[in-house]
Amino acid sequence: MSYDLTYSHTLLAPVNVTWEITSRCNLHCRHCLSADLRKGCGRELDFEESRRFIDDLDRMEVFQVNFGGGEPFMREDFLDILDYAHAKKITTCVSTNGTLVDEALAARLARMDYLYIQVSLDGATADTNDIVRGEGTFERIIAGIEALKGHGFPHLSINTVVMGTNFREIFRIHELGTRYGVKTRLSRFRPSGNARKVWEEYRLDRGQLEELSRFLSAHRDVLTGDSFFSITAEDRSGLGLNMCGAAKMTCSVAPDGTVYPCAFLQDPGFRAGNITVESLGSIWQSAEAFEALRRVRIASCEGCGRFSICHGGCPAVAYFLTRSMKSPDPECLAPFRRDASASYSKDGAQDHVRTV
Amino acid sequence: MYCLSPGIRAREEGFGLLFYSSKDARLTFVKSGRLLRIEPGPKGMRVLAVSCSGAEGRADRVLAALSKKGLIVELRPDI
Repeated sequence: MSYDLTYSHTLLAPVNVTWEITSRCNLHCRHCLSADLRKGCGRELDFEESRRFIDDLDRMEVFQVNFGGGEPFMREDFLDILDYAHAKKITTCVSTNGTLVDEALAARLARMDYLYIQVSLDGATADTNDIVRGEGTFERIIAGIEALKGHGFPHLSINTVVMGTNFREIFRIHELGTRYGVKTRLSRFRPSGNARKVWEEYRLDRGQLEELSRFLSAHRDVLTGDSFFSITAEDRSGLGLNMCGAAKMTCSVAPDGTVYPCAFLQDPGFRAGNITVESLGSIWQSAEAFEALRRVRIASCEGCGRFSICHGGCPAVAYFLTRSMKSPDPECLAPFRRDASASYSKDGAQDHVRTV
Repeated sequence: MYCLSPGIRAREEGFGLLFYSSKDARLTFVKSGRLLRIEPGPKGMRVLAVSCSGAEGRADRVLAALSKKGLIVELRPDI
């Protein structure tokens, strides 16, 4: 019983699908993975197209849909889309900036089964959060969290993209989550979308990556959900994914229906098809972009003792930093640890990227 | 006869069965090949059926393991 089966068997359908349901957003976060990718992409699937797509997901027996954007609650019909998915018993997870969640919306969401919500918060203080997400957002995000908790919404988490800006506040963010009785999820900062522009400024250095790995080991209740496996310590190896699921267990659908392996791999070369033209099932089974990703083997990692817990790490980070899908994750700690004499600097990390 | 536990979804895959828990999004991969099928059962439930004759012993062991994990429950005769 293992995720490794997805290496040897192409699943008949994705386990979950990330659906960026709108490109509209009321915030302009500096690190947004989508913002820069959405230029010129004004179209989004209308309600009927969305229903047909959910019917297709139901036929394929996709278990979960992760809604993102943009800000999903900017869509006037979003609650109807959620209701339609839930009627099919599809579990949904909504990534929201939380600023549009008022009492009425929180009350309605609290009545929905099969719904998980993660609210993005990028600092334990307004000073830290608002640098990235915009002035005044911290207070509005907290108000959204309080509204959801006030209405007894059960499946809530705070999601923080770990960057140099908020690294020193991770512990306090975790405390804040505990105070509100919600889970803390840490996500990886990746050089995709707007984040490319601030990558050098915001990314973690080696020492911070090491420290983060230790923090995660000491706080096993903290969720990581996506692609931190490059720094996952042995003691967390059973807590989540041990490999990239893109094109193996998951894929991503853009607002206009374009399908990609992952929300972080939205370069034209990874375009797999469009669900308004072809069914997702057909795209999943036959798209060359997916086949290519499934064939990727990171040979230089296969002899590493960590291979079973990361399988080479995040291909998106490797691709955007090295332009190669066959490179090991540039933020993997293993070579850093082997090279104990190396200084823990951003420049050092760049050296590593070039040598692999 | 066993059916899926509440909050559990499952589907057939090339390697066997894939279970998903809507309570915690946990996946369980069951390398059972074609030993077990998932079929419509009474009252909209989905039940597991043994599809290989002569392999009932192995099927029983797999079903017992899945039941122990809480992924399936035995259907009571009155249902």
